Amino acid sequence: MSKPGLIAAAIVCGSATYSVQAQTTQRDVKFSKELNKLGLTDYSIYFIKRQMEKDPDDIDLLKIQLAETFLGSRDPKVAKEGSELIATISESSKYYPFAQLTIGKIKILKKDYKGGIKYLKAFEEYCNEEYESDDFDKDAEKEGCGYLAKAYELIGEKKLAKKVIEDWQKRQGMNTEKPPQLVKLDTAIEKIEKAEETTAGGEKDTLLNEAIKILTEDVPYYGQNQITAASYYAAGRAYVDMGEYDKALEVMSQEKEFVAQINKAYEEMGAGKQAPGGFIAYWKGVALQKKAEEASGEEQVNLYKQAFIQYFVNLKKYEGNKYATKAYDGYRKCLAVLKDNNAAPKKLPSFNPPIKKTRESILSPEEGLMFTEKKYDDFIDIATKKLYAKRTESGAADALMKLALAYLETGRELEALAVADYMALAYPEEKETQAALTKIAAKYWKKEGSTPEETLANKKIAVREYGVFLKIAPDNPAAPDIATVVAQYYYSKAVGLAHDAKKTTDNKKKREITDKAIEAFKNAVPYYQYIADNFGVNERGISALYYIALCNSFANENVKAAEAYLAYLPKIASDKAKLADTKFNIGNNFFKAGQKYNKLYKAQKLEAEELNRTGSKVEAVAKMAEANRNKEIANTYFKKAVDHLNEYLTKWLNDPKYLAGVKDEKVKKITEKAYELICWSYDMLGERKIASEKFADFITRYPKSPKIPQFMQRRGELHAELKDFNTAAKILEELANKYPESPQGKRALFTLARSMYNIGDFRKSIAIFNKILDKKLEISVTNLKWVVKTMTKTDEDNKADAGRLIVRAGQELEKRLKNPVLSDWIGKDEAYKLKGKPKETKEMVDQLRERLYFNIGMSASEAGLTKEVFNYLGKVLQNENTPYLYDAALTRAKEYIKTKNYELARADLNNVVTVAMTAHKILIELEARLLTGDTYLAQDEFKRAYSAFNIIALRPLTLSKEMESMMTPEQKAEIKVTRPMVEEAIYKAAYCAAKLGNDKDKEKLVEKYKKNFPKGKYITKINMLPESVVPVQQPKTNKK
Amino acid sequence: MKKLALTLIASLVGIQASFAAEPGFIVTKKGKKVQTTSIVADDAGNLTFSKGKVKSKVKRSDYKYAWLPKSSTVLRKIDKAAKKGASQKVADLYLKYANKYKFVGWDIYCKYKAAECLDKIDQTDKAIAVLEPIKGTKVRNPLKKPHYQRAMAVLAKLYTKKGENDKAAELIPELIKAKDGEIAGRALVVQGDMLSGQGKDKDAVLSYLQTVLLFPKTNGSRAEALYKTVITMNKMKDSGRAKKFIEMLKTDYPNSEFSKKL
Repeated sequence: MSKPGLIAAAIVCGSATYSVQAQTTQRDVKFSKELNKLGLTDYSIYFIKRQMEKDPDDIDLLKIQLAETFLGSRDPKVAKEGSELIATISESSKYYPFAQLTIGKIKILKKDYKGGIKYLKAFEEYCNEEYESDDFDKDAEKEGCGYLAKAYELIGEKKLAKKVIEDWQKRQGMNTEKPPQLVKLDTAIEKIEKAEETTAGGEKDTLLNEAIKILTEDVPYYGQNQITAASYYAAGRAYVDMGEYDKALEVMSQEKEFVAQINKAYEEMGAGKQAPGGFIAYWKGVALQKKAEEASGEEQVNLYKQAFIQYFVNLKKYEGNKYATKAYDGYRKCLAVLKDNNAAPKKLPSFNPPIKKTRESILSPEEGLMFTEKKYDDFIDIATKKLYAKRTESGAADALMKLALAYLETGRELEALAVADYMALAYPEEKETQAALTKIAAKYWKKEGSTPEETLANKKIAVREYGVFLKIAPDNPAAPDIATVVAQYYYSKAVGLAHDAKKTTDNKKKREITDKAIEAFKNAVPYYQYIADNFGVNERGISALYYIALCNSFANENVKAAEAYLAYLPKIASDKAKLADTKFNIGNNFFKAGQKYNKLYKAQKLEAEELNRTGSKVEAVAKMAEANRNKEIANTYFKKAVDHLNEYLTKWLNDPKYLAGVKDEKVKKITEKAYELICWSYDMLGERKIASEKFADFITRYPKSPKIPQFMQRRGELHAELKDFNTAAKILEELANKYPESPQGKRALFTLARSMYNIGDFRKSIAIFNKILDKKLEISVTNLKWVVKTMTKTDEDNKADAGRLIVRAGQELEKRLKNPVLSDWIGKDEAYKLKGKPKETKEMVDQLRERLYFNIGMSASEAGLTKEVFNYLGKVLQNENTPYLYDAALTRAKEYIKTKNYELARADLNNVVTVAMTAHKILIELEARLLTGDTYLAQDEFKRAYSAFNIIALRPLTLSKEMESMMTPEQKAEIKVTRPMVEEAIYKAAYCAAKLGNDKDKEKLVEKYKKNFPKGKYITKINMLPESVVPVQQPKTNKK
Repeated sequence: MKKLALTLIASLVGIQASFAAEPGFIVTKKGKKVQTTSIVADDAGNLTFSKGKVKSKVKRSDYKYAWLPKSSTVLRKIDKAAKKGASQKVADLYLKYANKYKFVGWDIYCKYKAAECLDKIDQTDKAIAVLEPIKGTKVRNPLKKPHYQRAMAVLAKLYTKKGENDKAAELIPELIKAKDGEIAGRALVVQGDMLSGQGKDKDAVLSYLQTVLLFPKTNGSRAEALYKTVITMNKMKDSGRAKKFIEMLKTDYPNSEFSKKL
């Protein structure tokens, strides 16, 4: 340009003088503009003012730039200052055209298009004057004409807009004649744009098909060049609009090498942002994203990933291209989905996000001033009315922000929060939203309440608002500081709660507080992660990595913790103590993760065994498979722990690069812990032999460690598990001798006996337990209870011995119950609850005693100790309401039967029948009835026996349809489960009928049996029923 | 076909390249520019030049300045040797030819190249001694002006290295105005360092940012300027806004030593 000012002035004043000074000032102006673009307006203003102080000849140029900076401000006061400043540029100034350019430009930015056109037209006239121009002038001319054309376009004067551009092109000596191929391309694009604005399906398709025809048939006719390359993107776009995403991707993926050459040529020309590659990347992104939206599962995530990459290519490689803003939106949407699916890249690629165009506020300058002058009530009144009508218009964000702040300033905090939340939903990307959220949050953060709880509640609100801010504005420069504040808030809260939990003695409460602490640790992690992602290379980022590891570790997220420690490790090479601690913690967290899965495995294995016992074989197999999968996972983590700890202990301790020769006490302690953990890691991995060696190694290295008895005990157990009983016994005896006062020393023999039991050597196990009891060695209530509970499960050979052992252990427990230490019996928590409650305590002891008697009685029965059975079960049955009635009475009855005390047996059985009938325990009732019948049979009282069996034999076995429809599912099930008992009863009743010579009943019963149990258990026997024992009565005859 | 397409693009944007060698010339006192094919100067500055097959002589008092293209000198060979490694020998060669080419436009070039060599072999004082006499020279030949500015840029750097900041400061304003982006960019960084040393952090940032924002990515001082912008902004507790310059540094110069420092 400058045809107007600069060059004209140069001619008048002499070019030499002009060039030196003017070039410096031009550079200053250009610099200020660059600063403004980056949002560094404070630096820009400071710089221009500083340069103005030097009072250069071309100070007006600086004034105009300063005014432009001021005018760009949203603060009405500052903007006013800009207007005043630019008004000082007189018409006689050689820079007057620049002033007009600036005023025109700002007016257009503030949507006063007609006002802007007036100034820019005047500016364009200067441009038409024929003077020599330099780059600075040309840039200004291009900018001015660009704004003018845009303004014409926005007011619908497309022809005038076109003319402005053509005139400008002519002045630049450009050929404005379009090549025919380009005309074709433009026509096709116009059709696509029209189709995109059209809602009518038919018309839309027609337009798109026409466009595709031109693009695929006409454009290539002229040969392959940059226009052809551009036609690929246009065709892709048309296919996307038609919903044919695969075709779109196909057409945009053709001639890749050729398109790459074209792109390269554009880049070399410094016009990379116009290269077709950028457009292709964007539309490929759209096509892939659309496909992803229609897909599901893994395929969906993969498509989002591909779309994410295409958008990234558009933003990074073709920075500033016309689709950059849209590509950025797409990029963020895809990223959000990938994050939700844990598929986002750990380190995000870097690029300059497109700068958003500023929007003009819906508030007038006067209304804005009202807010600036703190007339909040008036402002709220006006802003709410205006927003009611215009809240969806662009530019509402500014008004909403001011409204939120006005509410805040006038104490209407709920309204302020509501407005800010609405902004986060409606205008998440606007800087005003971000400003409103941070200001509100900051206010709450600092706000002291009248009570500590109130202050805490304020902090919670602040954290919530900061959280919203970070979600919508992760790229905001303030985000790292805010993330730090929030992360530290959660971390401090978690640490405080952890301390509280430690102090609490009530276990339930302790658990509740611990859960809250874990939650807070988990909450802190994403914020630290944010810092680490953005500042991974500096101190803050490195420290965040450490906290991620720590929080995850405290929150029992051990795998995440181990991974975070792994990420932290390379950053701390110089600090030996940290290095050792981190390496140990990697191992430790993998170990804990393994433990978690191992626990799961054990629980599922038990469940599987239970299912197997109850006959649910299929479920049992499935459960066991699940358990095994968890065991595999557990072993993977134990293996990882072993690997890291081995690296620490074998490599690092011998390598000067790491820990060789380090004398630090902290490192020594960590090393000891590592030696300990590796023992347990091998142990959990099932590597018993290596584990034992490692335990032995630890014992040699740290002979004074208080953990030695524990390690010796485990070594003993490991050798027992390895069936190396001699070594096991040797170690455990050594443990008992060397550490007689340690808990492990005291229970060394018990440990050995238990190990023997666990490996199935019941004989040896029982022998050792008997030895403990013979020698009156110390044995805890817990261990005695273990004997009573566990020894019931042995093999047939050892059943009797085990029973006797249980009786002995039970009798020992009986003694301890005279003065019980309740916590040994029911655990600390339950014992604590009974403190100071003698009545409840007595009830509890009675219950414990009853259960003990029952267990001893039942075991005595197994062991054939009749006397003990009568003694202990008799004590149980003294309590009429005993919960063990059925088992105790039935077991005692069987014992009576064994000893031929049939009357006593029947008394117990009658008792069971009566109670079971009332409680509708049909199986128990029938069992008792059958046993009663058996007692009569044993005494050859066939009539009574027949009665007892016949009651059961009369039970239905099959149902008519009518009956079935009247029965409940429970009743139907009952018929099914009682079938074997009914079968037995029919046979026995038939037997009795035969003995009694009651042929009619016998036949009926035999028939019933054969009909219902043709392959039954008694089918052979029922065909061979005995002869009657009752003399057959001769029928009376009438003698004539 | 593809080749044709690229040619078309080149023609559209007016890419042009000229590989023709620049001829030598003499500008007479009257301002007349005489093109030459060769020029030889004696110790007093009298020139013997040829134009085609014709040889002529001109006295020192009869011409303003003369110019011989670099391709017509031995300087390319010395430059090549200097690239391989700085040494006293190379510095001496430059100084020798500084005298020889004094009247054909290459004396200042030779001197700053000699000074650079001397500095590299830790003879900073000698290097300063070579350049100080040039300070304030009125350069009439516009083709020699970049040499002068480069010489002053080297001198400013040497002064800064020796802690003689006041002397360096005197040179900076002129250097900043240099058309050569390499010189101006370097000078702005040196100016930024000086301002930062005086506690004027905001002014320092502005100096660094001028190198960052006004010169292309290829500018030799831009990575350093970006790094120093970040450090100074962090010092001013403006780390939020410094972040974008960290990104810029890492994106534009991923392998630079400055990138690795952050």
